[in-house]
Parts: sequence; C-alpha cells; structure tokens
Amino acid sequence: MDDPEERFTDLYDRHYRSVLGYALLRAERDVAEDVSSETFLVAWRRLADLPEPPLPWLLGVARNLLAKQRVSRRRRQALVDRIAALTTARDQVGWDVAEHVVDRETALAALAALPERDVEAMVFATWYGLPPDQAAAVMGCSVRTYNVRLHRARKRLGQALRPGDGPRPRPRLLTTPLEDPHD
Amino acid sequence: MTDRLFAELRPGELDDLAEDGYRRRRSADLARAFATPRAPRRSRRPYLLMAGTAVGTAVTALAAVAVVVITGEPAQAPARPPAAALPVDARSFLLAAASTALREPAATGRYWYVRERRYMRVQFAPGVYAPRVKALVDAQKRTEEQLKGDPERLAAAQEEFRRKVAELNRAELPYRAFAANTRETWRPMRAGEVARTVRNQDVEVTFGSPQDEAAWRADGAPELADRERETQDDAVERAPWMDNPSLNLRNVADLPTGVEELRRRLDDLWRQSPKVSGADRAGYLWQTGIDLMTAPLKPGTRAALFRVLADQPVMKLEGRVSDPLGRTGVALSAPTQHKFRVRLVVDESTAELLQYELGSDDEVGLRVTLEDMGWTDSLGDRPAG
Repeated sequence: MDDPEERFTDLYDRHYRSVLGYALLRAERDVAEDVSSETFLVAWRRLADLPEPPLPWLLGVARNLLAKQRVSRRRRQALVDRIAALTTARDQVGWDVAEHVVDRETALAALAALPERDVEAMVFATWYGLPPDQAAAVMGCSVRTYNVRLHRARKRLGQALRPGDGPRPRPRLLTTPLEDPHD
Repeated sequence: MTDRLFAELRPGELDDLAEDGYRRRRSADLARAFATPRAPRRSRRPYLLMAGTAVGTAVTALAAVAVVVITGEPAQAPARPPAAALPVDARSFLLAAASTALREPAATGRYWYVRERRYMRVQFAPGVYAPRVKALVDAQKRTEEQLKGDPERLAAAQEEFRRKVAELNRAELPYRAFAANTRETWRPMRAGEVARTVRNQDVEVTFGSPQDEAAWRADGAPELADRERETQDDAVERAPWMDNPSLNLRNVADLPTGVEELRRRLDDLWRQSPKVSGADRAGYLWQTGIDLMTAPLKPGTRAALFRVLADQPVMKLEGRVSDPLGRTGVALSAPTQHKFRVRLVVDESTAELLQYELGSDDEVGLRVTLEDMGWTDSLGDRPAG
C-alpha cells in the first residue's frame, strides 16, 4: 500500500459511497456527486496528510464544500426535506412492518421541528455510527457541544414521538421534488 | 428506542443512489486525481484545521457548480443521472483502468469462452478468388510437368507463378465492401481436451456507399462472404495468438503482476516473436495487449498491463463512445507504423476491453467487438451473468 495510486483507489472504494450518501442529504443528486468527487480530489492532493480513520475527515471536507455551495442557493434544502424527498414506498412498507408507535410522516414532522444541527448530530451518531469525538470533528464543533446537540435531539425526539404525550408537532408539507431544477 | 426509530428513517434509496454514483464516477474520478499533482506532506496539524485549508483549494472548482445551481428553473425537470467528467488524458485513464482491473475478482473454469463480432473490409470475393488460385495452381502443375529436366526454365516458371499469386493477393475489389460475422470459441484449460469454434454466424455484408453497391452489381454481384455456419471441434493444440506462440491459455495466468517484471517479459516476448503481423515494436505491444486483454489473466497482470500501456507515448484519448451493443466505453487510439492506427474501447467501470480496431485514419480494416467473455464448464455453454 505504499503506492499512492493504490492507496487512493482503496480510500475511494471504501468511502466514496458513504461520502455521497451524506452529500445526498444536503443537495440534489448532481451537486452531491460533484461535491463527493471534489472531496476525493482534495483527499488525493492531501493524501500524505490524511488522518486515521479518514472517513470523518472526508465527511468534514464534503460538509464544508456543501456549506459553501448552499450559500448561493435560492431555496434552502433542509436535511429533513431531503430525507422526505428520498423516501420511497419501500421505506414506507418497511416502517409499517416494524409497527412503530407513530407513523413515518409524524416522525419526520417531529424531526423537522428540531434545529438542523441536532438532526445532523443524530445522523452521524446513528447512521454513520461515529463516536462523539469524530462526529464533532466532522461538524467543526467541540465534543461537548456535539454531545449537547445529540442529547437535546434524542430528548426532544423521544418526547415528540411518545403518542398522546405533550403537544404533537404540527404536520407540514414534506415533499420536495428530487428532480434537479437545472437539468 | 429513539435511536432505533431514527435509524429506520434512513431512506433505502440513499444506498442505491450512492452505489449508482460510485459506479458512474469512479473511473473518471480516479483518472482526474491521478492527473493532478499531490501536495507534499505537511507537518502534522490538528485535522480540523487541515480540513478547513483543504477546502479552500477546492472552492474555485465548486464556484462553477454553484453558478449552475442558481440559473435553472426550480423542480419539474426529470431526474437524469449526471454524466461524470471524462478523464483528462489517455495515460490517466489507463492508470485508473489499472486500479479497476485490480479490483475485479479472479476466477477460473474449464473453458475460456469468447464471443466476438468481427467486421472487416472485404479484400476479395471468396467465390471468385478460390477458382482463380486453383486455375493458377493447375496451370503451374502442367508447366512443371513439361519442364522436367530443364532446371533453368523451371526456376523461371516458379518465379513467374509466385509473382502471379502475389498479384492476385494484392488485387483489391474495385468497390468498398465490408463483411461482419460472429465467432464463438471455447478453449479448454487442460491440454488434450476438445476445443470448439463456431464461425460465420449472422453474416452481413455492407457497402461503403450506394455507388460501391452499384459497382458490385455491375461486377456480377459475387458473394462477398462465406455464409456457411461452421462448427469445429478438435483437440489440436494451437497457440491462440500469432505473435506470441509461446503463450497459451494455461501459462498466461503465470505472467508477472509487477509492472517492471511484465515490461521485461513483454520485451523478451517481442524478441522471440516471429513478427507474423509485421508490426513494429509499438504495434506488437498493442496487438499483444489486445490479445492479453481477451485472455484469462490474473487481475494483477491485467493491472500491470494497463500500466505498461499507459507509458506508451503518442496515445490519444478520443472520448466516450457507444459500441454496437449500446455499451459505453472510453476510446483510446495510437498510431503504429505504416500509418496504421489501433483503437481500443475500454469499459470505465470494469476495465474490460469492449472493442478494438485496426485501420488507417480514414478507414477501418478490422473491428472486433467483444460481446462476451468468461469461464464456462461445458462446451456450448455461455458464461453465466
């Protein structure tokens, strides 16, 4: 693995899907792919400096690139809207089979009521399985701040999802088209 | 409980989209990286800081993306998978192909199967050529019979015969016609087992232009291709590749997997080659490269081969093309001697050879589309999947 080309190929094969999976939560498909490609180009330039494990670093680069490009966006793409947009009938069936106490729509509505960064903290903890120090590195905050966000997210989500307990979040329109507006 | 519920909110579509993007982007992304200079190692800094600075270098590139995003009308357009950027040059594409080849699994089986569609310029009408050659041979036999005991005139007659045959071989049709056919081969891995070749399937003849077709009709519309499907089964040991009689299906798997070792081995093979195709060294390397790409190599040898080819000068990246089966690949071309040009089409996602062509700049001499390749366990069976 001393060969830089081999090392980079291995890095790409292991982590590209994870990086793109994250970018797809923040942007439409073509932008997400461009950002992921750009992230790996940065990784290639900095191959000698990559930390171990590299995934949090890669996610951090992708996150910053996405933040840059989102500044100029006309319409804000909320994380929860992207989740809703990417949800298919297959997910719906899976959810129904699991017999959760609330329906999927209600769960998404509860998420939409949380601060975006709190939801993101949940994504890194639950979907990526990152320990707090790595997740904090991706989000560019201290471990302490990250833990506060995660705790708050879990607590509010837990409250909102207990049926008949406390105010139910108001349903809102969650469908954002997946289509690219500039195709 | 909250975590489990949240985990199940993750859309399954994310995996499909990520996999799809990975497959489409991989080759071009690797090639683009390999064509980009790397920064020297920095002193260790906290990596948060490093991530920040690294982003600075990519922001310029992203500005273009951002501009595209804000100009369009929102929503409604159908989602079409974005195309990946084309690799910047042939060398970086081949280096990326080398990495891809390394990733493909090694396999083995009883027969190595290849199905190819061959398309070539028709040099002569078989129904016209064969009788002419036969007439020459018959006449020569009679002459030699008569000239027995006159060695001087016999030698002259033999020289004259050779000249006439050469002339016949050089004679081209007065019109441009092309013949296509499909050939399947099953080559056994074990010595002494029966091999099968099925030739002349789906034969088609086409003309360069309507004028060419008219000239063919005026010439009496001779049959331009052998249309009889032929199945040949035998256990005769043959060298599959003209230029390299020492290579066969069994020992190609022993070719080196290191770049330098393979380069040296190919140099040795070039020195030993009977040079049947009359190619120069560059031409030999391309022909041998094509032969090996259609052979059961170890993934490491295939990767090394791409790297050896990447070091060839004067190679041109032509762009993305579709082959007759609708598969997309990247076309590369290189000149060899006598204005001949070799052109390869390689699949970006698997680094498999899809098609190769030999010809001049303005005309195809031979084009072979590799429709299928792989291992099977019995004669007549095609590879699964």
